[in-house]
Amino acid sequence: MELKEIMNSPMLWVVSSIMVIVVVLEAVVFMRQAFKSAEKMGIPREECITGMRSAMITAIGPAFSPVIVLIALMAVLGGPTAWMRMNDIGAARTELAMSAIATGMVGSSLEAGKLSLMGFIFALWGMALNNSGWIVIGGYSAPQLGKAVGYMKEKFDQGWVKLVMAAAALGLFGTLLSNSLISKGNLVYKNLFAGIVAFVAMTIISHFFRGNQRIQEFSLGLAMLISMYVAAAFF
Amino acid sequence: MEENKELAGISEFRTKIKNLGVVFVTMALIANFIPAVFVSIKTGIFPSGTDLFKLWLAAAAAFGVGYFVQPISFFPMVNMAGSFMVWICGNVGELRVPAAAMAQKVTNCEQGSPKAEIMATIGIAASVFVSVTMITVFAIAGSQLMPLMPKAVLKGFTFILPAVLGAVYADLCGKNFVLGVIILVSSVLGTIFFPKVGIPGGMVMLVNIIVAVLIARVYYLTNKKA
Repeated sequence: MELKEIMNSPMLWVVSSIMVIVVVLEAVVFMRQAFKSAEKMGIPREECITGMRSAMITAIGPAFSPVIVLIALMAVLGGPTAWMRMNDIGAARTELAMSAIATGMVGSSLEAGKLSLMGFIFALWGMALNNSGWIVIGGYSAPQLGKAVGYMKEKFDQGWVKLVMAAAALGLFGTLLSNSLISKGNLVYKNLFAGIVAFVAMTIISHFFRGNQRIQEFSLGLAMLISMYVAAAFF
Repeated sequence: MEENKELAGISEFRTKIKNLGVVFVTMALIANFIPAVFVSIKTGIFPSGTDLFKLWLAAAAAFGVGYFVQPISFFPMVNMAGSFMVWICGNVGELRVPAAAMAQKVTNCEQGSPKAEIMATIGIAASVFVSVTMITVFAIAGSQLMPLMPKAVLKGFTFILPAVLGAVYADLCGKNFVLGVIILVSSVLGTIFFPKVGIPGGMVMLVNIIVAVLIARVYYLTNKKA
């Protein structure tokens, strides 16, 4: 069987969809459980819907990031594989790097026209093995991490624990932001500009429109759009 | 009375999610391998045990630190229910956490409260519906859709990551604005210079987080004195 045939075959769409179905099913089940528990906890249903709506609006902008890589990845690994891997764990960069490593092992390459059937099969296995690292450790350790955080909250000074968690979050997102600003050890000034505009826009929206619920729901998406297009206008 | 209701509710929520979560994680783990197995059966080409081990070793060498560092680092923001979801559906930093944070923000949750846990779950699940829909639409129609977008729109897309992460960072700073700015500067410097002194790529995040916590400790002590 030829690579081109199997890469976009209907059967591969079907078997690749199983992962996407699991992802969606889990979200549906967890969402229902959260709504049920919220009711028991005395959180009004309207509030849950407000939270859900805001999260959905917020997700639209950032979801374009995997969408763009999807288009690129489809050309190389075919529709079903690109679609599945953009919907599951493994950042776009990670999936690309892993398939490059795997295809390289059998003397193939992701460059257009150079991928062999063997290279494709190794890429599939490589991505599956790599992704299971997060699924196994991130997924199965969730209850233990929950216990550890609960223990920390009980045993240590509350103010300090809160600050540690806030600082760890800042360090984490500081690193993620830095990664998007730095390329090969150098600051990319247009990205730095976009980052600063987003930061300022978000700070302004959060402070000056604090009372406006509707604007707050849009705040992150709004700050993101302002940043993207101000940066695009300048560079 | 109100507080008891809230605590009973969240503990029931956690028990249910724990059982469901393990089931979904197991299903995802199996689903993750199905396409590889399918194509191998279909073509009769199975990588040998040694090859699979080599592949796994390459993956672990490149990303193994992330398997541990990321789930621990993100946990306080996504909680247990969120962890069960985000380590299956990915895009944690730039998509799931922003969605969860916004769901908490518009419903005025106190950080670390049971309500915040519920809202993070709702936010992450909601973001899954959006991202899966968009990725699926573009996977089916994408190659036709993209060229139709105006040039100006496409140009803006190149700034998605700094834009979303800059906004999320501003939101995280919140009440600790000064601390946030100091940690951002230290993170940028760390990301540039740590690799130059031989700290491997996967460890930079961990070292940056440790530095951030140390900065917070100094900040906490100096503010206490003042």
